[in-house]
Amino acid sequence: MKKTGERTGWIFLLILLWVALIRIGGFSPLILPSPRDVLKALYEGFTQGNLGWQILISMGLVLTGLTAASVSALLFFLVSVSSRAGKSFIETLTIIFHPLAGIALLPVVILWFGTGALSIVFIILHSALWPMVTNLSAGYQSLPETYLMVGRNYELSKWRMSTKIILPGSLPYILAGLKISWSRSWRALISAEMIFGAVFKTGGVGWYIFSRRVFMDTPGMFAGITVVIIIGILMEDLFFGILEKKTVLKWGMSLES
Amino acid sequence: MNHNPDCILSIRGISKSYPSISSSHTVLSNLSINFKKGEFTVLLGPSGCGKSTLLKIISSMILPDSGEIYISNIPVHTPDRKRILMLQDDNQLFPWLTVKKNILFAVHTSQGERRSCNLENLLTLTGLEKYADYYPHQLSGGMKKRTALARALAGNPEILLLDEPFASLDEGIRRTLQQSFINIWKEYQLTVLLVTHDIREALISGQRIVVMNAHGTIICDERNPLSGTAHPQEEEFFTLYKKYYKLISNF
Repeated sequence: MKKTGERTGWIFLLILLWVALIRIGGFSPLILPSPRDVLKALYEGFTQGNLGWQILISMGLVLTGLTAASVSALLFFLVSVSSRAGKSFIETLTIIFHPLAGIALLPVVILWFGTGALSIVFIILHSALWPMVTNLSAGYQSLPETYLMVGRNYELSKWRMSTKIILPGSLPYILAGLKISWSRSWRALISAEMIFGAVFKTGGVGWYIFSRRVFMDTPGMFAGITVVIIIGILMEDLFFGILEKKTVLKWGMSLES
Repeated sequence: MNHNPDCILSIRGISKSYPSISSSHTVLSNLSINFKKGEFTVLLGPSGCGKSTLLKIISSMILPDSGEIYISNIPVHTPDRKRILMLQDDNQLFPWLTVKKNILFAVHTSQGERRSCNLENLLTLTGLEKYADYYPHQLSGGMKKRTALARALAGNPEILLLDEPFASLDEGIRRTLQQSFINIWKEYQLTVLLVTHDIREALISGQRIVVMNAHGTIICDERNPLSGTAHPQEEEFFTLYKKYYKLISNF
């Protein structure tokens, strides 16, 4: 509650600074629109445009990409803990692909999958997968040896060792990885949508921002950016906040604690 | 090898070395010893003498360089739920499981099926009835040890291997837990091998006391004449205390 109050206070202060900047600088609304103009554009985007639908498209794409990345990361992780060769192979893949920016893959992705939703999902998958694999691996390495000894003492199979001890024991790192993956994929999605244009006829939030530029609709561009920011805050404070409260914080396992 | 039907655990010629910077450091050297079923043995020795390594070898958590471990005359090489190892480490409970679920962890088979377990009895025995739904981070050090003990008992092991189980606790709590554990041992008729460097604990708890020197060799193996009747105020207790103290400090 205290955190939410503080967050709201800081956001309010930033809006005040924004208004003061316009007043002092005397900027044209075409360069820097007022918060009021942005709110109006936001309202029009929802009532007269397709902004609500575009948000749903973006969220659908990002969730698809994140789910694919989570499943792939889990499979990679299981391969990595199953044998030494598996570990070495997954480490090599991570070293090769983790530093590779999604945007660098765009020409190849367009060549392989065209400019549709599949390409965007692929870019999101690439952006989210490697931080997840890295964090799963860090979580496994930080697992107290005692947990594994207890598992071996009770004759757990490899599968039960992974699901009953390794995964829950690595959860603080898994959540940290999910947070990084979410923010990286959200950024990748907005960039990809701007480049690939209108997928599913209307396009997503990225395309909304980009298309406002064509009409020199600066408040509209800021409205799109505001949507991106609000979704980011909601995911961080609500989704991840609740998830952490119900798991690692409740269990006294938070990385912060 | 002749097999004594009373002998549940037999250690034959165990040696173990760890690599060090210049050469290898021998922790256990050709160690052999037998343990009777239902016996409470205390392994006493100075820090670093290889007591904990021996427990890990007996539980097959680590393998010896040479020698064999026999359970009821059968050689064993992999850990199993017949020999439960309870470590000194405070991290042995799973933080994501409540006290109740931590204990019940021991009654699931490797395939996930649940064996029978009298959870209520275990909770009562260990004084944890009110804390069944607590998470480990909400417990005191003593309660964590009791939970780990309840889990160890829930799996119905034949041999319980305890590595300084009460070491990090306050004096008062340690004494209470030691007494509770002796009562539990009598009720469950377990074979117990407890490792400690606390001579007082050895005299109060053990039926048999085995002393190891710093080179991982057994230098004394005898019945504890005070077994079950030890009282720190008595003359005989003090005499034995001095004897073991001398044995340990000479090395």
